[in-house]
Amino acid sequence: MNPARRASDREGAHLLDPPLPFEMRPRIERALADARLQAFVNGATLERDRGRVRVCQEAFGADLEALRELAGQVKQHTLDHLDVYLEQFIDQATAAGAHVHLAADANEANEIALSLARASGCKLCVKSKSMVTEEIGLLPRLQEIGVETIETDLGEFIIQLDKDAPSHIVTPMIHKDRSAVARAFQRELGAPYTEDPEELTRIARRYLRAKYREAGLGISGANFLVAETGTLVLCTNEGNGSFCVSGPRLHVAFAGIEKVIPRLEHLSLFLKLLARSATAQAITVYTTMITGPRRAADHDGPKALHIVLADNGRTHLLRGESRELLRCIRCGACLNACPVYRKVGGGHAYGAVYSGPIGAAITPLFKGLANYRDLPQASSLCGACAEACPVKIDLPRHLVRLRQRAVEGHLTGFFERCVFRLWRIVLERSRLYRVATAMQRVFLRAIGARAGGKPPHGDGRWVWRAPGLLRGWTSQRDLLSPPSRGFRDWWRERAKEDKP
Amino acid sequence: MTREDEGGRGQKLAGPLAQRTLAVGTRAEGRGREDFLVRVRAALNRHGREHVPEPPPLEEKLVRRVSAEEDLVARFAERAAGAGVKVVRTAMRALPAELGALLEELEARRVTVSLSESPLAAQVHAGLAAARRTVVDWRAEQGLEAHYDVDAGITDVVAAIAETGSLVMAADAQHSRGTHLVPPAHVAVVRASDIVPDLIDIFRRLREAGQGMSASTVIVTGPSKTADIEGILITGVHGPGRVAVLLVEDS
Repeated sequence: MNPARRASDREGAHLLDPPLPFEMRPRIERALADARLQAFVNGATLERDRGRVRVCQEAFGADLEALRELAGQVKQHTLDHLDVYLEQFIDQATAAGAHVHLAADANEANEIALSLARASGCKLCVKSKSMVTEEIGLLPRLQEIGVETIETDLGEFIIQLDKDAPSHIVTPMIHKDRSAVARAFQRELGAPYTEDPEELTRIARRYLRAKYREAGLGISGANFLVAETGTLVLCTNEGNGSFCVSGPRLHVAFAGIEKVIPRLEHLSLFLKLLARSATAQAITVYTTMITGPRRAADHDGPKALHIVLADNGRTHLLRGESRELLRCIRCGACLNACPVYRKVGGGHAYGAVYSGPIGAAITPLFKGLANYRDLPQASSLCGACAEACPVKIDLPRHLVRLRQRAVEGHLTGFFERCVFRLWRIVLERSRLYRVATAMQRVFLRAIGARAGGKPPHGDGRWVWRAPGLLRGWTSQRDLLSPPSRGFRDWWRERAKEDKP
Repeated sequence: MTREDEGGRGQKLAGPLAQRTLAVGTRAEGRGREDFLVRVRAALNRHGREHVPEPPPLEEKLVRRVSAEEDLVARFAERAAGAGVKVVRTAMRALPAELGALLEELEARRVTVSLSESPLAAQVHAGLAAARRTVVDWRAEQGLEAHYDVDAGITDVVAAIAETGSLVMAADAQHSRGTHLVPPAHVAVVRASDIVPDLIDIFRRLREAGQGMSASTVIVTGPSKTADIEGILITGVHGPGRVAVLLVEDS
């Protein structure tokens, strides 16, 4: 971990870059105790999730499945031939006048950015959303060399002002309310206190416009990289991306190598799925396609375009079965669909740049399973994420595999290992199994007897409060005990009766 | 930056910027590129270069949502309106007057204009003259500066998309990147013949342009918006808060 980065004044940095190994439990407990946070995150994500289902149904009807399958296949194909498509992208982008840099890891990516910034002499940088720059921790590094970098996406801007961290990869401030924004604007911008969202947005617009006009450097991410033409594609609703890549004289774009798609025509497929999956819109308001810096005849646009393609652990995922995870187009649909994400109050609980189901799957692979062993456990494997994913990543399967690897790597706790060893011993021996189930029946019926109440069928008894480990379960649910006679015995008796 | 860069296709950056970057990290030429790609190939269990394979075909039947048989003008108008765009259907002859009325409604005194030379452009300029609006010349100032000080930007379009109600604009000698983006209002003059059915058609058209493709092509669907603050929808965050289309049906 870079000590200079720790010393940055961005307090929010520790939220997504915590001490390792990361302990998820304290953050979960804090979130569960915060009713307001829960209500916020719940409302925001549920609405988006339902919206996604609705607009996809309206637009595609029965074709949705086939479209998702096609999108998944195109992405998988690209990954299976990533070397070729990367080369094609590099060649095409270079032919269009861009400079393409290849960064093996975070350090290299930062060094490229810093040297470009230094050489340009720019002191002010305007930036639109880029997950890669969050991965590599670029902003504090730019700060160190005297380049003021302003996040221009409204949510990211507010979070930056408030020294906070984003809690969702698409809608970064679902955990913040308007009064927090009002306070931040008053404190940092000297603006009069107002909680009116329109007024707050106007304040931000005025402030950021001044920055757009002054900035010599624009940094962006890229939603897609088109190999066929060397084109960068940026999708925003606010238009901040367009400002960042059209105004400043130097544009540096960051993208993970997995963002490549083969042809321009494939954009039609991905654009139709992306915004619907992310924010229940047919398409983002601005889809900006950049192919090289300004042409000789253009009056405006960057004089120089530098594209930084980052590996930063992706070639590691490219091997074997985790390759599928690189299909991700960062739509956030899985975050919105995940009941666990909702309950734990959003992304901060995951302690990493990528949260939700996709974050739980890739963070341990990027940062080491021993460092983030809680993340794959934070799932009930309900499969909502797999159903939501527009490129059909089977996230539950990847989470299960990570759990397997945790067991193989002896990363599970002592108690858990004992319980599962006992479980296995019992299940492998039928006599022991029968004894265990009989004991369970007797026990549950005994404690159930005190509660009473008629069961829906059979003669099971309601257990309203179980002791010990089961207390947590029964605090929210009623448990129905097994009936007085087990299925095997019932079956055996029936078989006897049936015999002549 | 100390040296002007000519930019343009295939030309390298000259001057201090290029020299500096040569010393840093992995450039896409030479050894750095090969090393990087070798790592990718190793992860794919491949040991040599292969040629560009055929990607899965884009099943048109599946992906296309709007076909040429439909009433594209009506569909475009409906979708654009749904995206928050004011659509005014008009004819060539009525264009100047309608433009004047629209600018009046937008309270736009000063405008910037990005139009290709055409009869349509002539009508727009006639309308601006008749309504006595000030046309600010964006070429007279650096970069996007001129657009910050006007009330509206008026553009034509490369195409419009019926499926989504979108406008497609591209930067070139006659079209600034800022006209549709910086002023608080954007007025687009769209011919019925500009409208293509589906997103698929746009990318086909752009592909056909090949090397001639603009350095910046934008698909804009409605006014700038955000819902970052408590999920409340607000327009006009960075880009224009008001977008209007003059849909000229007889051209």
